[in-house]
Amino acid sequence: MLLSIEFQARDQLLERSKAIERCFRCGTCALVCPVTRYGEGYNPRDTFVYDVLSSGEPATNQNLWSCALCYKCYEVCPQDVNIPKVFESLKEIAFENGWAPANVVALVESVIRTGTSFPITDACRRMRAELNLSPFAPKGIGDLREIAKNTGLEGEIDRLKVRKVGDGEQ
Amino acid sequence: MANNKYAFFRGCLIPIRYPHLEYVARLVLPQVGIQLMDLEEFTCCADPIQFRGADQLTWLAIAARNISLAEEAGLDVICLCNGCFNSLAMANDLLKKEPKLRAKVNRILADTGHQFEGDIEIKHFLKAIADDIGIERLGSYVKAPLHGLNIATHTGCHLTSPQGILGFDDPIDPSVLDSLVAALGAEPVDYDLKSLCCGVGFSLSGKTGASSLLLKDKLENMREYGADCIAVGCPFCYQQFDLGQLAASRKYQFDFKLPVLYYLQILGLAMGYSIEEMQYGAHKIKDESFERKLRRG
Ligand code: SF4
Ligand code: SF4
Repeated sequence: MLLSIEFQARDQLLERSKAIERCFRCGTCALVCPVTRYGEGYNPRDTFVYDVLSSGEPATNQNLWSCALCYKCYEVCPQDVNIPKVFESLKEIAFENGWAPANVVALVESVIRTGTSFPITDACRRMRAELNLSPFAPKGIGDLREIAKNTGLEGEIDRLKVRKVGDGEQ
Repeated sequence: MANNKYAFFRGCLIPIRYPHLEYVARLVLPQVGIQLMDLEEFTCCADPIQFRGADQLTWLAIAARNISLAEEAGLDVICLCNGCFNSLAMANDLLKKEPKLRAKVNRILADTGHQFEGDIEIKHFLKAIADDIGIERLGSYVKAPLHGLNIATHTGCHLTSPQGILGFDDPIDPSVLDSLVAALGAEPVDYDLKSLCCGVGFSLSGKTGASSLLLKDKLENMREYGADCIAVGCPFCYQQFDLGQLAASRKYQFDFKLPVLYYLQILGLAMGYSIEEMQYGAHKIKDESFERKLRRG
């Protein structure tokens, strides 16, 4: 019973990914998944895909964020079930509810605030100067704020951060 | 000589952590007829794994904005990274196919003054080389054929999957990068774990145990089939095979070192540049027998 979905968010998920109903639990997806093969704490009976999708409330399962979105499972699935898409939907539910790992929230915030996924460090400035490359400084940051405001992400990030601080105080 | 102009999408990882690869791209690509136009307003793609998972609509709008900048310049986009390519190409495909979604995203973009029109293509630089120059003609740029150099290619997941949308190569049995390496006189190595992910996701999320275990299998398999070095077309795979290999080899005491080269470094070597000029000095994993093979030629 690989994709036995018995959790509260089931209908919500089916609405987003109808194809899940087609799964006949052959397990082919788990055979090619790198997280199943090397992720910590999985055994052949309890694979990554199984682990996430069979848990009571999969959106809260932190292992969800280990999926590399490599699409190998999707490429081999005989039933055209788009597992990465299912995981993506679960991640979105998780993010909205404040269940995403702190490093993911930090990454999202970095992108909308600075226009990059990684901080521009002194080492970066030095290496670029040595190679005669002009300094790296993305210019479209104002636009990203506009976008994040319009999609509601800006407010969501603030809310998530407030919640994190609140959690810490309890 | 082919002369193709592209909007140059550098992404974040290369300009920030691996500027030597940007340097090599700027040096080598124009010499094979691929012109790189800088658009200063480009931002992070944003990434197709965690960001897209966290908020698909914002991800789509950011990608759409980046694409619209190239549209305004009348240029197709060239990417240096599998992740950037995957994000921009998937967003481009989605927005071209779904008019309702495009209208929604354009409403979000309205305040920025940019609009997604859907009239350009997104290319990874390997695809640009394969399409614009062609594997056969690539040989005409080779001055120092890499005969005797055995290369294990790693195409990477996000360049090939989902195949139906990206259409670059077969994700389960990739061969384009092998042909691109063979065109330079080198010998592509046919190893079993070719389509196995590099595992950089484990490293990025602090799961170094899983990362090292995966690398142990993958690198030993490459070595078993006689590889002298690895070829990649993605800075994340590059990071994993360089920095990640350092961690894995400490843990498992490898008795070998398998340097990883970004494809454009290999192209540059075949064009007659030295390994120093191709910025090998910036690599963590270096190997003397690999270096000797290159110097002999
Ligand atoms: S490969 Fe497809 S049908 Fe088979 S178990 Fe996985 S999702 Fe279900
Ligand atoms: S997309 Fe995710 S679940 Fe599917 S094979 Fe890759 S890592 Fe595993």
